Amino acid sequence: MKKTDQDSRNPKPNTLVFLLSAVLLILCLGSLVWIGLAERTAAGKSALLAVISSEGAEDLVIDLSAVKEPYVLRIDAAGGGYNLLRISKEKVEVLEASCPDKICMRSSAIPGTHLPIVCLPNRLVIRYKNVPADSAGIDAISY
Amino acid sequence: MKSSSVQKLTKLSLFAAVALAVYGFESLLPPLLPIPGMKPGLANIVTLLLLQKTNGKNTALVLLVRILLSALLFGQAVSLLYSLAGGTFCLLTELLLGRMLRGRALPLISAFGGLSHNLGQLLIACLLTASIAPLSYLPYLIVAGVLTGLFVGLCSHFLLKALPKSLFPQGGET
Repeated sequence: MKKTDQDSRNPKPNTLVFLLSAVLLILCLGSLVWIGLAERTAAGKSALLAVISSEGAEDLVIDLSAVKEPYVLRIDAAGGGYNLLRISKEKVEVLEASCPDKICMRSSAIPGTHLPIVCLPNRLVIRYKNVPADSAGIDAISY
Repeated sequence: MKSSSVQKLTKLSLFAAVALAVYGFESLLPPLLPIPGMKPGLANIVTLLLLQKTNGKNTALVLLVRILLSALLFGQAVSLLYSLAGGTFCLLTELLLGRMLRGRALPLISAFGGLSHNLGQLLIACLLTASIAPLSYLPYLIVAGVLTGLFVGLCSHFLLKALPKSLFPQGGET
């Protein structure tokens, strides 16, 4: 890049490099701490509710603790795609997805975490909720 | 049409083709981690090279051609939106930092580019699903964006040294 008049007014690149590196380092460390904390809290609790939201449909709330036998649920997306879910006592798993990337299938297979499962092409979001933590259930009626 | 502009068009098309090929190759690789939106972003090497050697306008053109063609060839309608958001965020960040750092510290510029690319995509994911659930992936995407960005930046740094100057369009400053 050529030097312009505007550039000469900026602080020295070395100072900038140092500052920007520091910002990156702090962001990464913060994220790692966040990940660690999130996994620790997820390990301590057992999620009881699974909230399944898909485009153009009411939120589907499933009480996982009441599930005795695992069963398969098909969610059809507004765009024509579908996801096959396996609902069991512990978690929701995506068995099959109509999209080519299959990210939701892999992400739902991670053990121990209660990260939401997101299928972007079919606009499907599956979240876990602890009943005692938010009994008000504001999220469930926000659609 | 002047011969210099034909030359420029040809060279930029070449870069767009290279970017598309790299993107296509990358889409065949199995993802390292099951986090939505996580990938190496190797096609960004072309963006960085062009930013260093020509100007923002040329780079934006090549990026746009690559995104449109890759959505047609490898993706679906929805992936176009993600790519556009990520690409725009990434390009603007790299353009700004490239100016501030005067083209130095390429891996650093690229790390911020990768970071903002992921943030842009996450923003679109939140908008499309009309929920903040995708934000749970934010810390993973921050770390991934920075690491892949550093890698891409290092690749570009060494490529810049190896590639002949005549490969790039001349007189890029406008």
